[in-house]
Amino acid sequence: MSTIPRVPSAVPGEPATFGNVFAHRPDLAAAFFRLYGTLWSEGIVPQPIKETARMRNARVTDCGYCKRVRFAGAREAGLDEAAVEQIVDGYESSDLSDDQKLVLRFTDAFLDPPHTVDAELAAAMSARFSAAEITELGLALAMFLGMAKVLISLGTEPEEMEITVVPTPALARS
Amino acid sequence: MTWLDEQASGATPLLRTVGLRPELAPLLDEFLAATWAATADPLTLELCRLRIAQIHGDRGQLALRQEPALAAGLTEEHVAALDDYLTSAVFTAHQRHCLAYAEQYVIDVHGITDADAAAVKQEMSDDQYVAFTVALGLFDGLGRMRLALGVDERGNGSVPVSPAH
Repeated sequence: MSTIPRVPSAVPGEPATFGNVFAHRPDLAAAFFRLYGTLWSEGIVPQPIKETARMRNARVTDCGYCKRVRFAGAREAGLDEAAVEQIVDGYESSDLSDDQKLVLRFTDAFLDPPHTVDAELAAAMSARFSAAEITELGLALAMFLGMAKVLISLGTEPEEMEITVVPTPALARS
Repeated sequence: MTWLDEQASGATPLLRTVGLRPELAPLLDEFLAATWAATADPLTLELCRLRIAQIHGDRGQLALRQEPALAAGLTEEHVAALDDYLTSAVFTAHQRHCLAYAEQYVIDVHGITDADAAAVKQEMSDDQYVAFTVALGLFDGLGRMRLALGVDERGNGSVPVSPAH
């Protein structure tokens, strides 16, 4: 692990944060943020459910930045810090909702080898969520995992960071 | 075979699944295309994609061959030697460094050392290193998504495909 950036900032005078390092490839960054912003701002899965999956990924992947960031939309929709604190091993006996626990089981299946969903979990997911919602969750997890690892491998994790509520990623419309 | 009870129309299993979210499908396509367009070395990137598929146990992805990599010289000899990339003479030193980095990226990204990163960056500019790292994240994330949703792209042997896969 490194908290020393492995690439300098692409923005003169600015620190080498994830965004400023990603800016070395503005074409790629733009394509990612269009997808990610749309995923959040025009998603059909409720934001607290998606945020629950994101927080689980953050903790399992151990992304120092992701673990400390909260998206405002999910917070405003009721995913408070007391709930986030329960997104840990042993969540089955927590006060989280049945939907959140189901999504956490799905998230764990996604993250852990062999990355497959057994018939029981598939049936439970299909009973509660539409195929479109499950697809959105799967794609969201792909982005959460992939970009958390980008952030980690580029050495752009902060050494220290308070829990910070940030605006929910949104689609930038021209 | 996917366990989802609905499929969209589309040319590939991935598009038939992601097409269930029509606002997102073209944006994923765009991100994938940008990822391949950003690399100056599609052969090495494809080797890393295939190594990630091996680690995931994703036989469907292992059967695909990205067209930009084929154009850059990818052969079945490369693919057959991937298990032995550390010693096989098929690969250059740079390809070995990149494959080792990709392997560590999937298994435990925190285990990538500054020396690992420096080895990869010997033959990459900063912007190429960022693009390479983003590509690995995308391959790792989408690979797990395919497996979790049962998106089966299995072919009979090597199937040339464009980046939308």
